[in-house]
Amino acid sequence: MLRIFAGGNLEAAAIELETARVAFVALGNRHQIAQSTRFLGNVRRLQGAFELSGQLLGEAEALYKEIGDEHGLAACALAFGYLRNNQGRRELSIASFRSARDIFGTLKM
Amino acid sequence: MTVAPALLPHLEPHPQWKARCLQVMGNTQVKDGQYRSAVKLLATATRLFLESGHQSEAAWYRSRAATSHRALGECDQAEVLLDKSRTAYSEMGNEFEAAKCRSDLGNLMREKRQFGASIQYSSTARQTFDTLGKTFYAAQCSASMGATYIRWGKP
Repeated sequence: MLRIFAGGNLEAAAIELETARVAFVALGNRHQIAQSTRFLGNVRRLQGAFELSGQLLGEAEALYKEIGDEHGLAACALAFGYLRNNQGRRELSIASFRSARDIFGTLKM
Repeated sequence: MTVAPALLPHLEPHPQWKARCLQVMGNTQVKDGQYRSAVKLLATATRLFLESGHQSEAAWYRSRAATSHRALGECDQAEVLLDKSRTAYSEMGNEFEAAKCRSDLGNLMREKRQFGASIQYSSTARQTFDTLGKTFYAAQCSASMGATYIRWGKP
């Protein structure tokens, strides 16, 4: 697997996040499932597994929509921005970053 | 909160109740984001709990004060308090609360970029949570370790 960023023990991170995700699925905690899935999506992107990353981020995004977590949706849009940038899809990347900015802008933080 | 300060003078002869009054005020300050005054109130409450022999409550409010220190970016102070709480809980045989302190210490060590220590605390906490059947807490430790591994070695 191509590792595109130096630093970070990415495979160890993926193992722990997958362990967490499986446990949260068993517990039915949708917020935590979405969080761990998004983090795992970010790790897979950093490892260069773009297709898998997109799939995971899509799953996380769907869950955030279900539970109405705007902050999670913004974080997903941001992650999609980085992913599409890494894939060389600049227009889509910029659209995702704009979407993230817009959602973050509506949140009280 | 409006009643608590007025009660304080009447509670002088009863340290444990004065401590409870202070902790109510401290918790309100935390909710309002007034972490500096929360730390002071919780420190006094902790001292009074200790003096009146209420070790468990002292440990609890020490860990609450640690949260405020962390919010103020005072990681070293937070670490000292969490470690004291962890030790106290262990001595009392309350392994669940001790593991929660270890879990918090794991997150704190990640903030301090002491990644090895972070993994060690989180991993030990997870083992305890697993043993106690606290699946949610154990999963949180796994997620925390994942976050630490991502950062470990990054410039």
